[in-house]
Amino acid sequence: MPVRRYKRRYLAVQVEGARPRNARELEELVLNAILRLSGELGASSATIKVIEYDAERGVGIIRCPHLRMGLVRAALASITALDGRPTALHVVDVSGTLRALRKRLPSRLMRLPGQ
Amino acid sequence: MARRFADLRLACPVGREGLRVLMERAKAFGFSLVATPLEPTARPEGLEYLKRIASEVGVDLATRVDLAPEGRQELLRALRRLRRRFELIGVLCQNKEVARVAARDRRVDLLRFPLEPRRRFFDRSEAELASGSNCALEIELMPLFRLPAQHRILLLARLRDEVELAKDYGVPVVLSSGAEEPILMRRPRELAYLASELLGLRFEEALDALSTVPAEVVERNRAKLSPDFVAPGIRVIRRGSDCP
Repeated sequence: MPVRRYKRRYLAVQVEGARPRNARELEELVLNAILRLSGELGASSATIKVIEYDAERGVGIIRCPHLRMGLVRAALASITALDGRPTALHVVDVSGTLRALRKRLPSRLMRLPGQ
Repeated sequence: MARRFADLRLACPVGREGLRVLMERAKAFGFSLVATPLEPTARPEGLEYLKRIASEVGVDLATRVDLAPEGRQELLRALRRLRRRFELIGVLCQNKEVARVAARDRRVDLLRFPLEPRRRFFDRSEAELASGSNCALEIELMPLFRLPAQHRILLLARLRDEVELAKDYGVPVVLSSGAEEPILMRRPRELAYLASELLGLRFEEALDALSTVPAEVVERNRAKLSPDFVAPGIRVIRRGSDCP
């Protein structure tokens, strides 16, 4: 039976401030942050993929290897601007399966005062 | 038991009402203890008002003042004047003289250093002094991302050395966001991941630096400021007619 070589983690991300226009822009933003933090070697080991992204609500799901989740979350926290406009990416939930994450997501979104 | 997270330096320059929004955000992010640098001239009734807002919001606010003295005398004068009025005193050590005096003085809670690698004086001697006086080393995370890359690289190397030294000498490390704008605030776990990736702390250590360590600093000072405090380890437990 084929066995997946590594576990994955799915991160639910809520964007505050300037929002990426689409999934590709979000992926680029996160990848650049990982590059800045740990260079090309780190970025190659933290293969991320934006599974879905709703630009209207600024909510997305990002997949990453579970052993590199720390790096990805650190990179997400280090993002402070998008095209010169202030932005923040908050991880609101983490799960090992997409199904569980999607089920919990509506209750995990934050209503941020002063937004 | 769930951790109670603390952000001891929300550095946003906001008025009283802005502070309410800041506290609401901190609560939404999962912090239960917050502190923001206040003016040394803040009056006791003003501090009470802020505490009241905090309790309405549902967070615990520790009153904090940050000092940036130029020399020994200025620091000692400020400590004499302010120690009994604020629950936390942070000292920005801009030169070696101030750094040494602050590290030795039990009235100082948090040692801060400028974001310039050459002006950070947390070396072995400083760590040894701080370990004897219960001062904690405070590291602000979010201002790092406002620095130019070259500057940040040098600073991160320096910060990793300081964390290593602090661990060797048993100096507590306190992590805070240092958010200068509300949008720079991050959830405690994100800050912990940042610290563990950038500063060489284990994830659990980073979580402690955001929860138990700052809480201990605040608790210790609150105990000292209480009218029942006599000396470390000695406090009044009954008074007057209460005594058998």
